[in-house]
Amino acid sequence: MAKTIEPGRNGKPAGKAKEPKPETAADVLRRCLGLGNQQAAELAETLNDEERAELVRLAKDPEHGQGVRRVLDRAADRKRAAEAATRDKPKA
Amino acid sequence: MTVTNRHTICGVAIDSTVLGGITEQTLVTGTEVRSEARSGEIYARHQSLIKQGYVPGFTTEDVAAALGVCGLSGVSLATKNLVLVAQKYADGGSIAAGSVHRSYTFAKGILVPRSLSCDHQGDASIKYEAVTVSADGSASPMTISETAALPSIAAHSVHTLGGVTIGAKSLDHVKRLQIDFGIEAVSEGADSDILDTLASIRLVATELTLSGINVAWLKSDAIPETGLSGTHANTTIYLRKRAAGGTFVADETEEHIKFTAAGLAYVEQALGGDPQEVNVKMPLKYDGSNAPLTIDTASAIA
Repeated sequence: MAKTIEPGRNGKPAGKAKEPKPETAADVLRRCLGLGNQQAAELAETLNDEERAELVRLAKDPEHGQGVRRVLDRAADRKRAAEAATRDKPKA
Repeated sequence: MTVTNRHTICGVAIDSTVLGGITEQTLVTGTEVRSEARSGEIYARHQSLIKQGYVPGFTTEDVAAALGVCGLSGVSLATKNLVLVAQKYADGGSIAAGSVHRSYTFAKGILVPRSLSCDHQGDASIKYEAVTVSADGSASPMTISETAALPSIAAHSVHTLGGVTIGAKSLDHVKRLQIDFGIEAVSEGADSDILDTLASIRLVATELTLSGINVAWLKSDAIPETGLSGTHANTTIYLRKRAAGGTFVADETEEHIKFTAAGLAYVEQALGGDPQEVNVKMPLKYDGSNAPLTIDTASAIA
């Protein structure tokens, strides 16, 4: 979070514009799906490192909505398979 | 007769997030009773309850927190339960102490934002509604507790109008912003079940409306008569955070709300009222990458 500096009455203190921060996977999800910040962060948490890196990579493509959707589809399939494996595992 | 029950609104919980700044709570049961006269008789002989569809809703000024947990895609109530609380008054006191309040919990369905509005010098306010469904067509989607404790409400943030730029044209003299999220969330049922069992979003047709007193919004170098196309790169709407005990939080502090949008803005009404007001509409579209409206509840104002 940026450092708070004393505002003038209009909330506009003098200051230099900051360099834009690199987009994270949560940022990409927020932007592409219209999610809120907390929603996007929670969804990004459910992805693995490879999926998060792919989202950041995809965001550099000019049109990446379908690509983001495919990553989420793959992640959903992965989670479903993991759940099924846990459910079907024979009890010791 | 003695009055023992008087309740008021309270904080609304979406899972572990308790929203403050609540100005309205509603709960409609969507009950339909069929009661029709037949055989030319003037009285109905048969009555049946044929359908229900519980629609809980609320309006809050805690816009940043609300949008943080539930944006344009809505949120599944199976993942994050929605809890409304009717806060009980005490006879001879104010709010009753202890777990004597009434809570209404919804654990299946979808919560979506309906509309956001903010006037000049006003506080932004957002309205939510949920389409709730049953697990099996007969079990109620609602659980009522008569012994609920009050949720813990923290101080909520308050936002007002910030800057508006559409298609790289800055629009000043703004008096009012309205966002109609246009989310068509519907439920589906079958087999003559009373309650539907599947809730989903079928369509998102978000539309922005801006009202301002600068009649020069309609101008070839502002919004031309044939409209102005905006993209996410050049269309931003800020809601500026108010500072508690001051005026505004500094623009550089990342606590403001930023929307970006893509669509075709046009002047719907060029003159009207006194002072003369201009109304601009902007139905939003998908650009292949970004949702029609993007939301950032932790933004600086550029």
